[in-house]
Amino acid sequence: MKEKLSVKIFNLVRTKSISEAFLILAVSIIIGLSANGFRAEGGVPYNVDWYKVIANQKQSQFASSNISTISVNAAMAFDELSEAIFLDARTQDEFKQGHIPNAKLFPPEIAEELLDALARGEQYKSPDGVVYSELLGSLEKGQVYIAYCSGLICNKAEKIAQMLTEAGYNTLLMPAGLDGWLANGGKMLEAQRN
Amino acid sequence: MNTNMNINKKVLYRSFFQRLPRFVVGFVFILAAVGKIIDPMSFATDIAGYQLFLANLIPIMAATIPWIELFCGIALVLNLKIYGAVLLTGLMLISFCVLILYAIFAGLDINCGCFTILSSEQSQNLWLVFFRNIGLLLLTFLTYKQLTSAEAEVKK
Repeated sequence: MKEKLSVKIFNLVRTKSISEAFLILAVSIIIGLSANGFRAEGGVPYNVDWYKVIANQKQSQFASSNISTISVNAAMAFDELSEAIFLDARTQDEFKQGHIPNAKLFPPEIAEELLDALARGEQYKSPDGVVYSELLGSLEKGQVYIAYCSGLICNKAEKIAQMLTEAGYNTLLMPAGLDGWLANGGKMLEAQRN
Repeated sequence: MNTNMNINKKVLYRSFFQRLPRFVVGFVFILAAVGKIIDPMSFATDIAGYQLFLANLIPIMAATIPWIELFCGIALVLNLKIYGAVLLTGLMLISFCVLILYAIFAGLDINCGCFTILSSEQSQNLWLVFFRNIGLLLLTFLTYKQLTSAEAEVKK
């Protein structure tokens, strides 16, 4: 049985497609890495944390926009004083799996309809008439809202922060998102397992 | 004489249209690769944007993937090591499609890293990128079918 399997694998590797693909891969990898090593400038450095690079790029983007941002530590201070409502811009499923304790769901997909309903002082109902308890139930002008999504790269929280800011609500964006919140020791309300 | 010329024209057209899929995919891959080889730093940033890969792996990917694309593109256009090139191109396109779907559903605000040379500052429509890749994947599959049917004819 074992022999048969090894013969099968041998035959597979022997096939023209796979042997040629390996040849192309080997040549490309050797040339690619050599070219990168020999480049006087402009090569990709191996010792750079690329996730920090893109995080910095994102921060500078916010600095030039009209969205106010808040660090995780400052957001935690607001949370301890119960002075802010967190707006979770992720999906309903993600929200149900776990979210910041004092958070309400504000999905960007229905943000306009939700904002319209709340601005009229009504609760949002889905097209089939259901009221979801996870969704934000009311909006007040004096209240501070902190929008977040999963992490530094998602843009959902940015969209709702932009929309609510333009509508005149005190909204801050927490760019580090839930990842940053958890990394700083923040609590999360997780789904109850039955 | 006239009939012969018509037949020759037909053969020419047929062979051109048979080659067209691999020419299209090949040139697209060469174009995509050249931009990334010129500017691997931007490509590394684009890869990091997906937030899926180990940080140590990103520079290696940025240094090698464009060369794989380039050699696959050249192989497709020049009909060299075509079986391997079709396999690699297909695998790459499938992975690109999966990555883009992931980016769409995770709500990532990223550049797909497809054409560093053409990409603008503005965010791209990732659905458009996805369907472009599906189109390229279909052309690659067409090339594969042509290769296998040509091989079957030779065996006959």
